Amino acid sequence: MDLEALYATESKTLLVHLTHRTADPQIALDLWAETFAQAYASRDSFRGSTDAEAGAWLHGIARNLLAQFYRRGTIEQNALRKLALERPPATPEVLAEVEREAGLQELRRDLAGALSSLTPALREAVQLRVVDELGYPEVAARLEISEVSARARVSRGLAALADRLDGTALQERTA
Amino acid sequence: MTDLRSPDETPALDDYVNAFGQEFAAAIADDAAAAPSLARPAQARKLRRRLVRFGGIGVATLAAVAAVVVFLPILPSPGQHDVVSGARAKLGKPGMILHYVISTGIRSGPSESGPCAARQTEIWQTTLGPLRFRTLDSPEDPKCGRSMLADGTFTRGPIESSSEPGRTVTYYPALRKMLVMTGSSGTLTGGLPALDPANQSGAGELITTLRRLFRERRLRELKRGREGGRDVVYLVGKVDKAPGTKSTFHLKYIVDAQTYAPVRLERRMVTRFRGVGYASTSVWRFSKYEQLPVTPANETLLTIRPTGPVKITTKTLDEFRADAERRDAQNEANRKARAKARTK
Repeated sequence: MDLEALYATESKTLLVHLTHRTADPQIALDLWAETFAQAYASRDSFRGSTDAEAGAWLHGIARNLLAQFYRRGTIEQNALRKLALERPPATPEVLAEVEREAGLQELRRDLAGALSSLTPALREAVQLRVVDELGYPEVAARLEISEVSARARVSRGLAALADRLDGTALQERTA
Repeated sequence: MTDLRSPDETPALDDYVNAFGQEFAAAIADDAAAAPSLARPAQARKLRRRLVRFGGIGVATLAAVAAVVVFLPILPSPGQHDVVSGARAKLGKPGMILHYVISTGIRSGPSESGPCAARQTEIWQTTLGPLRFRTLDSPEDPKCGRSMLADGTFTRGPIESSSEPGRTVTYYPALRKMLVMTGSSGTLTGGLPALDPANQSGAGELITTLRRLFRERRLRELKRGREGGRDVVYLVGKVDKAPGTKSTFHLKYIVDAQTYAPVRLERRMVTRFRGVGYASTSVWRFSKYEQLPVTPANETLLTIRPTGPVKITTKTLDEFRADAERRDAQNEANRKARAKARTK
């Protein structure tokens, strides 16, 4: 497993993809960094031999992390911690470039249109966080719930929206 | 890591991705170095087979990095040897006095903690042989730095301390009070900045610990760069689970590329609490660093010499400990009395 080559070819693509799936560059960066740390931790499990197989394997790890995030509303960073590795804090310029690369403005417009299919509680949480771009503490205050609950509610809402907004992306990438 | 800069207009993002890529490469190289080299023979064979099969530059580079890290204690490259030896020698030859000024800060996230965590310490200490030192410790913000004296009173402002085998002196200029403690078997290093958080009063002292890490060949050159207008070399290393703690810490030791004098030392520590890891980084910045010969004049730098009248209290180490225990017991009794009064 040539992790260096894998990072060189997949890192930016994966980051953009995760941003598209979470509509949140900060969360995407956390998932992205943990994906590479988990790839290193589980490198022995890779059974392929080609670059394409390595890319698919990496995106499979990302998909599992994304599913966990949707389910729990939190991102466990166990593999990063084992390496004592932290992703660097992202500057506003970096976040803006991630958003631009991922076409997040367009995605936000699509999201706003698809929100009507959610339950009121999830709709409001996603609206505040993703469309109105409020921070989680503000979302929690507006909804009068804890920040942890706000994160969970937003992640559940995004999970419900994910397939209809970007249903083919993951399959294409991991095929 | 490969430079991912592309014609796309995302220079900040490309820099960010490259920076994390370098951190990632260093972390996995550290991890590979820390793993027992014979523990995973099957994996080593697999890696060798793949090297033969693919001959890929990326695989070869990664394997080469891992090999250099694993075997660095035995076969350092000539360039690394020069830097590592130079940086090690700069930490002291026998019969010298080190004089340096350090600013200490703590970073638990993107930004450094508040001014009360920031201190500046000027230090004179002997190199090798019995450790003797004097420190002048000042909070960067004069409103901070509340310290409890050994007799239980409080003071603010700078504190001067000196220590040698069997005798430790602490001087509080604002109070014109000096506490002299005798009877310790060695030199108490509590006044010195400590790298190893598990060993504040012993070998955790910064220079001694760095010297030990060099001796054990735990520091290696990562890269070269520029900081503050000068060329520097980044040395990195990892220390597994400090004795008595559950923490692992990673070191980044930056030295001047020409003189090998310390520029900055960072200790990133990840601690686990209830299953969650917390990372914090302690930073020591060296604003001055020089080696002085041991002469009668320079010897005086190792002792505190206040001017004017000073109240001196002298006690043995055991007496100070007994005082502290009495004080703690009294504080506990007071706390219980207050709690009882509140419930009435």
